[in-house]
Amino acid sequence: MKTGKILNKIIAATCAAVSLVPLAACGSTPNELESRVDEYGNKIVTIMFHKASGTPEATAYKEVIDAFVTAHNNEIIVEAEYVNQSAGVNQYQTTLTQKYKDGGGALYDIIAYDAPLCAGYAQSGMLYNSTELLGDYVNEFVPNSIPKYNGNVYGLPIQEASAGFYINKEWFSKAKIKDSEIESYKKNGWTYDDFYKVCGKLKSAGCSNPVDFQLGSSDKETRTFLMYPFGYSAGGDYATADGKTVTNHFNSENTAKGVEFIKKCIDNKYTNKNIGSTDFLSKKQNEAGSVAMFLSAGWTITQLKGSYSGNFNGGYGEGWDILPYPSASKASAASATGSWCFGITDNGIRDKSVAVELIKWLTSAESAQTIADKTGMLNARTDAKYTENTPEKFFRDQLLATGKARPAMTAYADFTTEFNLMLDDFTNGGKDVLTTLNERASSLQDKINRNR
Amino acid sequence: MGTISIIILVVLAAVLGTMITVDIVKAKRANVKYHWKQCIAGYVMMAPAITLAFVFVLLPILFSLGYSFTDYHLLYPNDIHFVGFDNFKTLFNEIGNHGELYNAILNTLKFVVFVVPLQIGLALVLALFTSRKKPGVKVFKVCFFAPVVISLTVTSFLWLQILAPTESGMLNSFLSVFGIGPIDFLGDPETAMIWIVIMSAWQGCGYQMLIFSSGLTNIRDDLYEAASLDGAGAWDKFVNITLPGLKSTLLYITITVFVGACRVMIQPMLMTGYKMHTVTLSYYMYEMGYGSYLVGLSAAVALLMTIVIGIVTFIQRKVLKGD
Repeated sequence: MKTGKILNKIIAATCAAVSLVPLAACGSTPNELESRVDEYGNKIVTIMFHKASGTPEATAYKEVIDAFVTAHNNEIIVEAEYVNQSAGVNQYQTTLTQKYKDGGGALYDIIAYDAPLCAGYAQSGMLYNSTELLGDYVNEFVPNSIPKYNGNVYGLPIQEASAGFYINKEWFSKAKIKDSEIESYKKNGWTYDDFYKVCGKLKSAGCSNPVDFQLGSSDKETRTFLMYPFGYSAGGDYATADGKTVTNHFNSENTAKGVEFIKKCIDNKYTNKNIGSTDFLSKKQNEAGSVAMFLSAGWTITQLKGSYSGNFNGGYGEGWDILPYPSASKASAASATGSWCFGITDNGIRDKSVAVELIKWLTSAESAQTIADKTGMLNARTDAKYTENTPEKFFRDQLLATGKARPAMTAYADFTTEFNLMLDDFTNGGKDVLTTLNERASSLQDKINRNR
Repeated sequence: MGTISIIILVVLAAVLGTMITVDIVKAKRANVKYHWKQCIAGYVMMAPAITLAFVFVLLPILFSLGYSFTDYHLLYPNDIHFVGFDNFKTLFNEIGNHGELYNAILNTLKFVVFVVPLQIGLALVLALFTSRKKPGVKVFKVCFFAPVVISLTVTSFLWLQILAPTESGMLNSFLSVFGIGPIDFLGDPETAMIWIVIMSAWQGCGYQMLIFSSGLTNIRDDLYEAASLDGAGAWDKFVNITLPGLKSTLLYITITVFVGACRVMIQPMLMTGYKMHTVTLSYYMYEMGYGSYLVGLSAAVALLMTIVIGIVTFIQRKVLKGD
């Protein structure tokens, strides 16, 4: 047979097959079930965690689940999956969306998810509107921590996170910045001008890197989490409440004023993207390239108390301290919030009572403390107790006073991308802030419009 | 998805069945004996290869093709609509706006234009060097091939250490001896892609070196001897004997290196992250699919990429095949 004829047949077969693919729209929908039960009539509830089995956090979850099963006389079975995140947070999200797709919309009864993804998951129907199911129970949590979309509740926080400027007090002392001044900034907040003044003094005292904003971090979300509060800190914002419009928000005058703070610090050589990720922790004050201030989240506390404690002239309040985010005025102060949450999914299981019971157990006062003790993260419950004059208490107070969540957007990843491209423009130079913001706002608006 | 796969499989099986039937009918009409046993044996032997090709090559391509005409969103797996050429219109609009896609195309183009000749040239030089019958040459051959067997992820991290923008970075610590730097090689939009090209060419050229080496062994020694007798120098021998002798090898290598270069993603992803000056088409496609959840649009990029690669490969084949 001639090659041409075989080719024609193959092309015909391919065309026939291709024409069938769009019919995937008629794919299966999740099977509706009243509840999940095993052969003995025990109720089954399934849950997906964002940590690999064996990690300290996963161990805490296992402990809490075991206690739950025992408390219910083994009449409720919890089937848990622990997902590895060794390749970053995207690995869990990819696994989650892949399972959702493969299941044709069916998923575990409860999933763990990062707070900013709430809008996308809620709008798509992956998460179940739990406003009525959880009722007044949500009042037991810090209001900023509750994952909401369009006013509805879509889960409960596992923990909370905040960030601030860790300072090496030896550098401050060398720059002749008095303890009383530090205390004042800590209690009453500080302005951009205060911040520039401090950086100037540190620079004059010989500190080549007065502050590290972690501009060189390879993780897009870390950079976003640490620096998005600046957009709010002069009264600006990033998007409308529904997350559908960013024009005149992302590039508003006040947002520009806020993020310009980062650019000025770069332009004045108070910071740069080439500072090593552990320079603040690992280099002593008298070492070349040591850093005086370090913008980081709560997880740095563990490092400062642990392996790097020897590099500071004392513990919290003595060798190192934490200062809040600076702002244009006290009224517009903003700080980072938002961490992982548990959400009940809309997976075709009509009876949500077991899932509600488990989610409440996982976030109860006792469980939340067990988890917080293992992770070192902040407890998101209002009844959590913190000792005075501890770094954890500082972050907790800051969270309650100035915490402002990242914008709720169904295409949150696009916001992260644009925010990071904005930071790249700042570090590469050549453009003024408003030009950069106009470009990024326009691009983000296009991305929002093309998404659902 | 499962149902669709089965439908496609059934369609393909039906087409295969039809092809066999047509063959039988033709054989009967031409009064030629149809050798059943041999034909069935042939089809059975082909079955494993066809099945594997179907599952791992054809099916993904077909799905990708199909998805590029839909609004498939990763968070709406049960709500997919046929949107015709809308995805392609969106992409062309984005190119017109000089956004990320525009930069991704430019960066991929830069990468391909530089890496293809560099990698092939390096491979050829190394092959010529290692094909000399001198003691110790095999050790060099192993050394040059070693980067190929190391994972691209590992080599990317190694190069990150070499190019680190601080004084502790290997290259910067060397330059500091001369009072230069430290230089941010990967952070500078002007130089980042050049370093990615150099790293990629270094990592990949060992494999092409082996192929060139086997090509060189096929060139008869007497041609070189005759040329020497005629007074030809080393350059003349290279241009008039070695290069023509390697023509088919060169064609194969050019096409494979070109196709591989068009798909570059790991290096920029690990070495710089998602930056305007290093984002490539594959990286853009990945972010579009898994970051923005827009699988339909991502598949449309893939389709456009496939078409462009196909056309360029076809032209390369025609040009390099020549006579």
